[in-house]
Amino acid sequence: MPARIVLNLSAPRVSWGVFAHGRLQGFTRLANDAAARAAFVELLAAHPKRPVAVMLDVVEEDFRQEALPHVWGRARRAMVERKLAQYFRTTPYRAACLQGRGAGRRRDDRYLFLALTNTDLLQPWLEAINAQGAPLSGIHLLPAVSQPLVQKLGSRGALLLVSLQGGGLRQSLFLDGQLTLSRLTPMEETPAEALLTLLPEEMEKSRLFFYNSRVLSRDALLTAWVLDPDGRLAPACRQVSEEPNFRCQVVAAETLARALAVPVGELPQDMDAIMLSLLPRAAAACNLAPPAQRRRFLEQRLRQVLYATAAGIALAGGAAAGWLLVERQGVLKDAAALRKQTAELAARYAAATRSFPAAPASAEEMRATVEAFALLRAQARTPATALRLVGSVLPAYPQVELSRLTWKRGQGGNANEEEVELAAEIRPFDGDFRAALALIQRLTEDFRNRPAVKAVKVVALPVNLDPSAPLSGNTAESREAQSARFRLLLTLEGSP
Amino acid sequence: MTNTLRAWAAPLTALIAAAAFATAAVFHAQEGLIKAQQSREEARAKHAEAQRRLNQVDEERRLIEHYAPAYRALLGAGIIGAERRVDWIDALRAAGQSLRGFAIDYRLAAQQPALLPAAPREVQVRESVMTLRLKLLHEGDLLAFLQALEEARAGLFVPRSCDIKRLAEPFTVRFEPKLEADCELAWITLVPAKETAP
Repeated sequence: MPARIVLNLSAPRVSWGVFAHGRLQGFTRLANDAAARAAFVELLAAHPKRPVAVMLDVVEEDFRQEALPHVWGRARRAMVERKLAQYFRTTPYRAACLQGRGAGRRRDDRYLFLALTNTDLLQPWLEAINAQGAPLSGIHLLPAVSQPLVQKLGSRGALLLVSLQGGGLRQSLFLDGQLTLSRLTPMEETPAEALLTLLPEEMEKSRLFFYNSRVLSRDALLTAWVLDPDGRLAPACRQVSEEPNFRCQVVAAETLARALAVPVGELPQDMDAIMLSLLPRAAAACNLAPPAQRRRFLEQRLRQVLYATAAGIALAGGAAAGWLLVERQGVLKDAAALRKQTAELAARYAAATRSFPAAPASAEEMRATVEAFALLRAQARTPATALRLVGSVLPAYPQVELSRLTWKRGQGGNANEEEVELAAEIRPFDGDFRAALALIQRLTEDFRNRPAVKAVKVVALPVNLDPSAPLSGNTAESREAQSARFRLLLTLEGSP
Repeated sequence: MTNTLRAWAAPLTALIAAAAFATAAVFHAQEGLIKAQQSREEARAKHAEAQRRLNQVDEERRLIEHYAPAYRALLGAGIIGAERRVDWIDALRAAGQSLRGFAIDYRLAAQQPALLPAAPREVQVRESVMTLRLKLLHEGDLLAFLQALEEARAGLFVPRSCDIKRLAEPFTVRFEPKLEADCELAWITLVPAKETAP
């Protein structure tokens, strides 16, 4: 819990200290006057920006208990605000403490509404706090602050918590561990002898008030716990006569120290100091300070949250980066081990290959190169097949005169094929196209019947027979002057 | 307003700085891890390759014994390695003897990688396209020329196309060329891939 300044205000006296590392330090108690405020201002100046929590031990307080329907969220807030305005219309210092659920069928929420009804005592101190720019963390009533102590002491049933505070004799009624009512009897410094009579009288008055206001039935057992760290109240408690429905027990320093988890030697003798040490743990719901007065504290806390978040992010990032670096080291170690093993394998391989026959290249390289060459040779073609084919066919057709032969090897997927285009002319040509076409037809069939020929296509004829193509000529032209040129395209199943 | 800005500047700056630090640290560490993992994968691949080679050492010996003679023959034929253009010109001249002294016009294009999808990746096939114009007495001269070019052992020559035309008559001399051929050949050389790697 962050360190903060705790301030206890009562009409006659004021006390303060610095709560840090779970302990109250520098406890100071003075008469409530301007000099005390000046001293407190000095304390604030010595601890700039330190949050201040205020505890009030005054008679101008009010407690109301009521059960409200169990609702959530905005409806609950609106209902509680309405109730607070109804009970404590004139004061901004009011709060509603949720104390649990009722036992009835509706299981209503049980609230304790509490307020500071007169702020005259508080205002000068708040002004001093604001003037110093100190963030106000909260304002609590002393009975609400004592609630955690009662729960730690383990109370059941009706309990009257009695303590001698700076403001007087404080008596708070707790039913099943929950604060119900509280009463302060103002008193100046009282001698121990006077307490012998004062304490029983005041407890009796309180009992009568509880019975008359029907907060407690007369046959219910009421146990008074007298907080007595310095042993001043024990004799008075022992003088209280035991009754069937009332008994007085002293809570000595040892019990208090155990409940507060501090060594007995470190337990303050002053009840104000004990209550101040409980103040930082007071329930947030019982905080009387309006949000506007806590703005500086809330902003400071938000800034702290931002710093904490930043630290968390940096820490998480650093941790993640660290983990990754550790992983990286592991991976690098694996890689180094693999490299070492590879070097060993390479050495064994080198030793094994020393007995190999001399070779101009690696085995794999030689295999790849030789196979690539074999592949290229297998795909290589020359015009020899085409020329032999043409030379074997054309002698049977002496009137066909070859003017051009174009040979191409197949490309892509037809690498095994060859294409041969023949451009030829019939000579002599007597103008008989019918005879010429018949001759070309025979020649085509002759090529087609050769085993090496896959296909024969007539590309051009002496006369264009295609009905879709235009045809022109001159009948006056002499027959001898006419030519009979044609072209054939042969596709060969090539062989190397 | 200034006070408010000043009050929030530090925590917001701290938050941004922390986020930047965390992001940079994680990013940097992640990068390092990825690089280390890549390094390990490379080492693993090399280890597997070394293991494979060691396991196949007998097979490698067999391959060397089987392929070394053919490989040496290809080396001798100038098919493996850099293109030897002087050898090619000599081979062309020698092959030209089969053409009864007729001249050969030639043109050799720049060498470039050849498209041979079935070629193993260990070897790169390169080709220089040569264009030849030959004068022939008859078509047999062309075949004799191609045969002579191959026997000159200046490389692997793969004909792509030949266009043979009959020259215009009249022919007045007995050994006057009757045909003219325009041929395109690919001059192939094989280069081991490791020699071509950058």
